[in-house]
Amino acid sequence: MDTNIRGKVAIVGIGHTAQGELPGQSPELNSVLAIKEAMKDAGIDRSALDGLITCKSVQGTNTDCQVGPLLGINPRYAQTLDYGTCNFSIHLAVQAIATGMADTVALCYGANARTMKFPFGFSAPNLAGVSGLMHVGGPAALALQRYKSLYGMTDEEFGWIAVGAREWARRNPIALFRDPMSMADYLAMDYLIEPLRRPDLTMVSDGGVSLILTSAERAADFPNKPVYILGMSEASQIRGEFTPSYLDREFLGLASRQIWNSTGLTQSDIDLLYIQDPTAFWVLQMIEHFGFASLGEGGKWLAEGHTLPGGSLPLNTNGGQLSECYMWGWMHIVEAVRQLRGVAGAERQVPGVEIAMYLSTQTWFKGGASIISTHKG
Amino acid sequence: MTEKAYNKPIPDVDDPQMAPFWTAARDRRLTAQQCTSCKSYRYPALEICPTCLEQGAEWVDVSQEGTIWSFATYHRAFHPGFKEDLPYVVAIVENADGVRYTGRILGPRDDLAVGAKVRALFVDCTDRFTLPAWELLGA
Repeated sequence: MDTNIRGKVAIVGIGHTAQGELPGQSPELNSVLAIKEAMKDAGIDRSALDGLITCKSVQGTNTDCQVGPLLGINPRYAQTLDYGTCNFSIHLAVQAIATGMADTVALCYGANARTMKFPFGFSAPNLAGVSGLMHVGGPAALALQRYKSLYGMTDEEFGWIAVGAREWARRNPIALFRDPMSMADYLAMDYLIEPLRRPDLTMVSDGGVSLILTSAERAADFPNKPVYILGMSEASQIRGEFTPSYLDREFLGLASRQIWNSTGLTQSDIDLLYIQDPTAFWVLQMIEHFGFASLGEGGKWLAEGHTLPGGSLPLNTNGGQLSECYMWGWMHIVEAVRQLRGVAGAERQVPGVEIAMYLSTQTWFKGGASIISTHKG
Repeated sequence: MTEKAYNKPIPDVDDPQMAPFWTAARDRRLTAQQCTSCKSYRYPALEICPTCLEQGAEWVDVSQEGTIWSFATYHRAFHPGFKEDLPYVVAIVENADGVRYTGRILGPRDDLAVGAKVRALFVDCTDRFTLPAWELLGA
């Protein structure tokens, strides 16, 4: 069976709403407003869409059947992913298009968690919750503390993820956190959940974002330079906390091996790296599990400056969830497409970039990777 | 027991799956489910053994000594009940039987570290709820 998807599907449209506080706008409305923008970018109207993949909001809404009435179409292919972090949604769209179940698919995510004051600190009243383990920062702090104990990473080495995100965000007019933050500023901040500081954790904001994917054959007819999917992989740890040392997220090594083996590409082929960043420590883990630095060496590698403006492997050039906005990784892909098209703007456009990699996870349950490029092969 | 009303989150001690754990905690016993077929431990409760896929299980006493896998120190209370405890420490502890529990580290913290030895202690929070927690064994 031919399982090679390299270059068969392309991203031909990107769109998003304003990011920040959007009072009175539902996740579904934010999704549809983003789809409108993506259709404008792709130069199509709704008649060209025969697929819709929605990603549930944190409240569990924004399903295909909730977005459909607002979008006003009955596409032949419609699905909803529980936690679509753009990777899983892209992978499903590629599968649908490559198998002929849909030709042109809109993907969307919408959220209003900020204005609805979603209780992110809430924990189920199990032993961990009643003991005070709250907020995703808790598990991440546990994982980071163990890592620091094993490998001796300093706060400064780790701080380059948050400080670097802010450096990039300062060059991005969409970003919500643009105030300068030097390493000294970072280190002067109190711990929130030690060893994590506030800038090591995602912001919470409202917004909508959409992508439009189609087959490579059709992509040639679209106005923008197509960005092809060269490879994709996933891995799971759905046993969750019943997996020993689940917070080390070693299962991501399987997603890593699959994407490098299936594409034949190596880390040195990647021009731009995008890593979904609910916490800075999840980023460090992914840098190591996907082989950009060896286990225990990620902090030293970061301190060498590769991921900063002017570095050899720019990371989250939009500022990520730490400094741009809270779109569960979706705006990372929007930014990757802008960079690959060469339209990211004078302040942050990285010259000569052709291949980007996007990594994301659903906490310690699932992980995904995609490699995208303006070249098919 | 504290003099004022307990103001932190409380588990459902009547939950059919977990009630035996909370009942045992009142008697200063730390427990885990054990598969009657393959004898594997599991915590929290599951309806079937994920090791052998047999359903029979019983709650048994397990070791009250363990090792800190890792810990996190909260400097902000995400629930108002924890304000008076700041900064407080939550740890993942692996006990001598290999069962992992996520719970509070109480008492002196001078020897707090990954790999540090701890022993269980039990805090009566309400008339029906006793919290299993951990304290560091002296160096």
